[in-house]
Amino acid sequence: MAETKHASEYCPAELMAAFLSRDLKDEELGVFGAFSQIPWAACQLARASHAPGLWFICGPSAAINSKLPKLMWSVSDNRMHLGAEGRITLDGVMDMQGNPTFIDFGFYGGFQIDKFGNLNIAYIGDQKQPKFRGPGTVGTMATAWLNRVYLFTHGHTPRLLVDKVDFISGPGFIDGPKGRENAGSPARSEGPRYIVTPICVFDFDEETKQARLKSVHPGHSVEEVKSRTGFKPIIPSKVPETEPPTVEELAFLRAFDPDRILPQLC
Amino acid sequence: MKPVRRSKVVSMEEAASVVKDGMMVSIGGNHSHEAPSAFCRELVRRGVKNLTLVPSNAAGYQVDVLIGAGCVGSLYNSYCGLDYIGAAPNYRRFSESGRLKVVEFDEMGLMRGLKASAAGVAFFPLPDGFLGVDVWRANPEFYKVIADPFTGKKVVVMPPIRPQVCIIHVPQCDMYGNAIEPGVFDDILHQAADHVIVTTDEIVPVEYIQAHHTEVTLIGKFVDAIVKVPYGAHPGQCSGRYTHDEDHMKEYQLAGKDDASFAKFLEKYVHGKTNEQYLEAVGLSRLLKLKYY
Repeated sequence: MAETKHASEYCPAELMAAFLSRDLKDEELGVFGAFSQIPWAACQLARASHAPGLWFICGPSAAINSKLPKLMWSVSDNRMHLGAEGRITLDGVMDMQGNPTFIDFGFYGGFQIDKFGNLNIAYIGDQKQPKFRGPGTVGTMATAWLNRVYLFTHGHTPRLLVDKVDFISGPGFIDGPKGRENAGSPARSEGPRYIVTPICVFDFDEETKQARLKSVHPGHSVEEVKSRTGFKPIIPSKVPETEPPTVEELAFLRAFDPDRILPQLC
Repeated sequence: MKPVRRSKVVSMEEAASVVKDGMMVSIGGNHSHEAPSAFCRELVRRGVKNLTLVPSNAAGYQVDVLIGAGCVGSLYNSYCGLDYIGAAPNYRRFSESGRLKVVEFDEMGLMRGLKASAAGVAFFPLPDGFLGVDVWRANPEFYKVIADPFTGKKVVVMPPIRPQVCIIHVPQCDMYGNAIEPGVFDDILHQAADHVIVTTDEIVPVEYIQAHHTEVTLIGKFVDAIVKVPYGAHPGQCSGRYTHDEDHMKEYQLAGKDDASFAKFLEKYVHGKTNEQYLEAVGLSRLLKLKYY
């Protein structure tokens, strides 16, 4: 077999999409919400490369397996129905999400993510007059049930990656190894698997359930991650580089993004 | 004598006159798309006050414009924003200054409260694991933690939510209120309100609906009034007809930065204007650019 050739010039969002796509398996079912170009690209790349039978639902339109041929700025709209194999109402999506055997994975983001993989997209401060009002919990509560969760961000700052979120919209491990169990999350639901940012990937330590630096993207360093992260990640003695997109992966992503939206995200 | 089946088509003024100060009103749409934005602008013109708004799981312009015009007392909020464009400016500004009461929801709680009302049941449970979501702590009036009568485990339940008036926009419906639209939340909204108003870009013959009856998403029996409003979802998208007006949304977001500039925006586009005059203010050349694909 020929050696895999990696691309040399790519943007962070392209690397993130390639990384995520490799974790998605054939015949699985995933969901993503609005402003989710990276997850959308990851699903389409997985279908094109190794998971032709992957299912994905675009949450806002609930279009199933959209064939829309290119990324758009609006992932929330009904153009996602182009070439779709079906639709479901939000009511149906809610039933599928609450049933922990049904949806394999989902992608979520927010304005705060903490070391236990909890997500805040609601508010900071006093609920009646918050210091900062975000859009609202919307569908992020599904992290309580989905089989596995990918957290992704368009930035990497201490304000975004915090020690403890001010409000849990989407539960990760809550407060530690027993957090999900104490809150009643189904055993099959593993919780957050990765936090994928424009400079690195965190996974979670099996014992403490705290974020651990899994890999650093080419061109970035462990020191940079430490200085730009608001929590103290677990840092193994050896931290590998994140595998860049292959030439083939990048060619697919470029063809799927003729308007070059991915380079403008991060 | 042959009886004539009643058409539910009325004028915007007649339909909007049902909405009174202090009412609980649900508003359809998906983000800023396929929302009854023209109807919301009519409510701004009428100066309705102190509404309790129950938007869909994800709300945008259609709700933010009512907040900015001072029409809203409280908001049952799952999400309010302008998608990739950024924050819904009035929602954010009014809540951070304490002028808007935000009742904290998530989309499943909101959905299941409306379902409880549609189905006529006392409450609707949320799945195990919801105790890990802080929404129930922030809104204990609605999210109650009880013992599951079968297992004794803790379960979060949601009471019925019953808006007095519901407003939905669709691309097409017939004169009896049967509508076809791809929205994901409007179906539950139209089953869970006392009075349902549908605004539509086009009124199609009932024969069209009959030829596509398996695609019907809003059942006319639930609908009380229909208003024909061309470009009624602008600046949001309307399925198959026009996409969202990104430039206008950006102008809107900027205008919402403070009271004075938002008042100017309302003067330019809303106050004293019919829907046609609104569309003229937006501009024909702009509207023609909003190609769906």
